[in-house]
Amino acid sequence: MNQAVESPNDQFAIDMVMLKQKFTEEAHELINDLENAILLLEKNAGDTQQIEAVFRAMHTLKGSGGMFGYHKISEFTHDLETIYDFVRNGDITVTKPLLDITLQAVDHLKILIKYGDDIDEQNTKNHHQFTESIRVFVQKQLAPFDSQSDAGTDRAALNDSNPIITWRILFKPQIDLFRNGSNPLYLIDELHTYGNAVSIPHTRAVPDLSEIDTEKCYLWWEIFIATRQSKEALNDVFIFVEDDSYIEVTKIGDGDLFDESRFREYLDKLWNEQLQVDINELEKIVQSRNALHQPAPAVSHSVAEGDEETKPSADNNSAVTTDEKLSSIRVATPKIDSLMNLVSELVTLQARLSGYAGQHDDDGLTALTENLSTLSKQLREAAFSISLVPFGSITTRFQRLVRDLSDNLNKKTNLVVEGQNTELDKTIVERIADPLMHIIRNCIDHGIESPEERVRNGKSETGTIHLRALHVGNTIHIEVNDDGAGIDADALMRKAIERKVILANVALTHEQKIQLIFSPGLTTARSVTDVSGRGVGMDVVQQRVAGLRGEIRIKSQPGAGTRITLVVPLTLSIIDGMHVRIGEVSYIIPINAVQQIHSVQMQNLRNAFDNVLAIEGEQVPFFWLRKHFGLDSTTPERCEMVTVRYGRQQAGLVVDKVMGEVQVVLKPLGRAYRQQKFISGATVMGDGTVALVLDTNEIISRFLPQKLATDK
Amino acid sequence: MNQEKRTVVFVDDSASMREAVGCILQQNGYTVLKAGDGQDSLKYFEGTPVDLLITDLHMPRMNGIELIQTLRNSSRYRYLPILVLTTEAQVAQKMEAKRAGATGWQVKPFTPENLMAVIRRVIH
Repeated sequence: MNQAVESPNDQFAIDMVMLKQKFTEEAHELINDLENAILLLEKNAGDTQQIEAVFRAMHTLKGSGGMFGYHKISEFTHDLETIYDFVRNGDITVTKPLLDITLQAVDHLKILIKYGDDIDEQNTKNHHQFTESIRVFVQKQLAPFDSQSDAGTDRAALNDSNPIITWRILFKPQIDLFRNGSNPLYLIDELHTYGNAVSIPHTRAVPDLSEIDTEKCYLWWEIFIATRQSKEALNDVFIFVEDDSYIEVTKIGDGDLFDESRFREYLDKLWNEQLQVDINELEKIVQSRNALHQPAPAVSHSVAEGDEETKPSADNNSAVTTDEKLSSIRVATPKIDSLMNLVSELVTLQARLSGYAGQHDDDGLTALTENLSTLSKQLREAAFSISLVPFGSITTRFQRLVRDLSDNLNKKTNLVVEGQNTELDKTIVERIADPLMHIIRNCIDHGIESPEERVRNGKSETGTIHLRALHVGNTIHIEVNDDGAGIDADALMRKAIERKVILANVALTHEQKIQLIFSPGLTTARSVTDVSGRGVGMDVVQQRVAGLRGEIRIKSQPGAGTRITLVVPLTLSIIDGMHVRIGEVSYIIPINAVQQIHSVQMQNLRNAFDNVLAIEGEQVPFFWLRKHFGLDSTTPERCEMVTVRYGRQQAGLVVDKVMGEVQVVLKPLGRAYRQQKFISGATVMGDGTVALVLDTNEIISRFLPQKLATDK
Repeated sequence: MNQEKRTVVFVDDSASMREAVGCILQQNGYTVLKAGDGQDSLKYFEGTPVDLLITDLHMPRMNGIELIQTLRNSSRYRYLPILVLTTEAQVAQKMEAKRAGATGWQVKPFTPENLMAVIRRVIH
C-alpha cells in the first residue's frame, strides 16, 4: 500500500529527484536531532520536550519516507512512532532498553537514508532482523494496551475482478454536519463516479423558509449505485463524516440493476413522491430479475462500521512551542563555494584596483576605489559568515561515542560540551570531526579510569570530558579536557625506546616525553581493545589537523587528567602569510608556521655542513628553496632564512628576500597539479602576479629525516 | 470542476513534504500557499479567501490542532474545509483533530491520486 509519489505524471517524476534530495537533507537533520534528543533523554527521562522531539522526528521520517520512496524507513519507524506516542501520552516511561533500541534505530536509519530501498543483502538481512526485534520489543511494551488499530487508506482501490453489485446507501447526516467544513454533496458526487447511481434527496425535514438556519443540514439521502467497488470502499467515502452521520450500506442485488427498467421506474417513483425505499418492493424487483438470471442471493443488511476506538487524547499544547528555530533557507554547498570563490575574485581584483589607483594620481578614482574597498570587505565578511556553522552541529556524534564506548568499557563518563554556538568554517568542522572522535576515544579508552579505580583515587565515580570550542584571536581553539589518569609519560618513553623512536640514553623532560605521543607507531594501551588500536594514532590526528593549517597542543598531569587543544584557523580560504621572493617569483609562507627570520650570508650557508646551521645555539636544518624549485636566477650574497615549525620539528627555508606580511585568498591549484605536494595553493597578489602558497608541514615532513629535534 | 483557481494553504514542518504536496496541488490547478507551522500560516488567512487548509498535526510553535481551533473560532473560516495529515499510528490524534473541527484526514504516505481523491471529498 505504500506506493510512492511516482505518478504517471512525467513532470512530477522529474521533480522527484529534486524532492528526494531535499528529503535526504531533511532526514539527516532529523536523525541528528533525534540522536540528540535521545541522548538528552538518557540524562533526564522525563524531559517532555525531548520526548516530543523524538516523536516528531519519527513521525516525519515515517510519513515523508514513504512519500519519497523510502519504504523501508516508513516500515521500520512505524512501531517506534507508536511506542513514542504512548510515551508522550505518559502511558509508557522511558527506559534504557527503549533508548538503546532507539539509538540502534538511529544507526540503521542512517544506512537506510544513505542507500534508500536498495540496500545490499547483508543490510537487508539486518533490516529485517532489526525491524522484527523492534516489533517484538514494542509489542512487549504495548501488551497491556492491546490496541493497534489500523485505518488503511487504500481500501478503495478499484478491483476490476470484483463483480458488479447494486447497493443502497442510506446517508443521514446530523443536523450540524456543516460545522466541520463538510459538504455532503461532494461525497455524493464521489459516489457517482463509482458507477451508475441515482441519489434521492429527502427534503421533508426542511423547515419553512423563515425558520431555516443556513448553518444546519436538514437533508438526507438515499443513494442507489451499481459498482465494482467493495462495500468498504463505499463506506470509505463517508469516512470523514461517519461519526456525524448515520450511514447504512446495503446490498440490493448482484449485477447492475439499472439495466432493469422496473428498477429505474421504481426509483423515478421514489424521486417524484419523496418516498423512502420499500425493501419488499425492491426485493420483488431483484427476485424477478434473478429468476431470469441466476439463483437469488439473500439481501444482506449491515450497518456502517463506526466507532474507531478512542484513546485518551494527548495534551498537545505543552512542550512543542519552545524549540523555535531561526528562520532559514537551505542552500546547496556548491552554491556557497561558488559564491565564496566569486567574492574572493572580487577582493583580489579590488586589491589590484587599489594598487592601480595608488599609482595614478586621480582623486575620483581613489575615492571610488576606497568605497569599493570598504564594500568588498563587507561583502567578503558577509559571504564568509554564510559558510560558518556552529560547532554544536557535530557534537551529537561525540555524545553518542562517549555513551557507547563507556558502556562498552564499563566506565562512567560524562561529556560536557561548551561553546556549541562557536562558529567555524564548514570545511573545518567537517574535517575536524574525525580527529576529535579519535581524541575523545583515546580519552575514554586510556584516560578515564574505571569507576572503582576513580573512587579509590578519591575522584567521583563518573569521569568528565569537557569539550569546548572558543575563538582566540584569528583562530579557533577546540579543547578536550578529561579528568582521567593523565598520560603515563614514562610508559610512553619506554615504548618509544622499545620501538626505536628515540635512543635509550636520551633524557627528556615530562613535556617532551608527552610529545612522544605524536610519534608514528606508538600506542600505550596495555591491551589492544577494539576501540583504540584501530590503526590511527595521534600522529595521524596531528597530520589531519596540520592539513587544516592547525596544530595540536597537549598537556597532561599524572592523576589529574589531560588537555588536548586543537588550534585551527577561522577559515581555510583566507590565510595570513609571509610574502617572500626567490628571484622574480613570489611565494607565501603561512604565518602561523613562521618562527623566526634571519638574515644570513650566503657564504655561511654554503659552508654549512649537511645543510644544518646553528642559529642562536640551535641546530636548524635548512632547505634551498631555489634549488628545490629549480629556479636558476643568481643567488644574492645576502639572503634570508625563514624558520618554520611543524610539531616539534623546525627547519629553515632559504629565500632571497622577505617582502612582508600579507593576507591572501587561497585558491586551489587545479587538477593538473594535484600530485604536487609542497604547494598548497596559489593566490593573486595585489599587482596581479600569482604567488604560490607553500605547505611547510609537507616540506618538513618530506625532507627532514625522521628524527626528533630533541634527539641531538 | 471550478474554473476559478482555488487556493489551498498547506502547513507542514517538513520542507520536503511542502515541496511534494505543493507540486501535486499546483499540477492539479490549485494555488498553493505553504507554511512551516500553524503560527506561520495564519498570515494567509488574512488576505484573499482560502478554499482549503491541509495541515500536519505535529509542528513547532502552533500545532495542527491549535491551528484548527483558531480558525474555527473565526467567523470567516468557520466552514473552511480542513484536512489533516496523519500516520497510521495516530488514531487518537485523528479523532482529536476531528473534535477540533477537521473535515477529514489523509494518512501518510500517500500518492498524488490518494490526495486528490480526498481533496475532492471536501472541495470541488
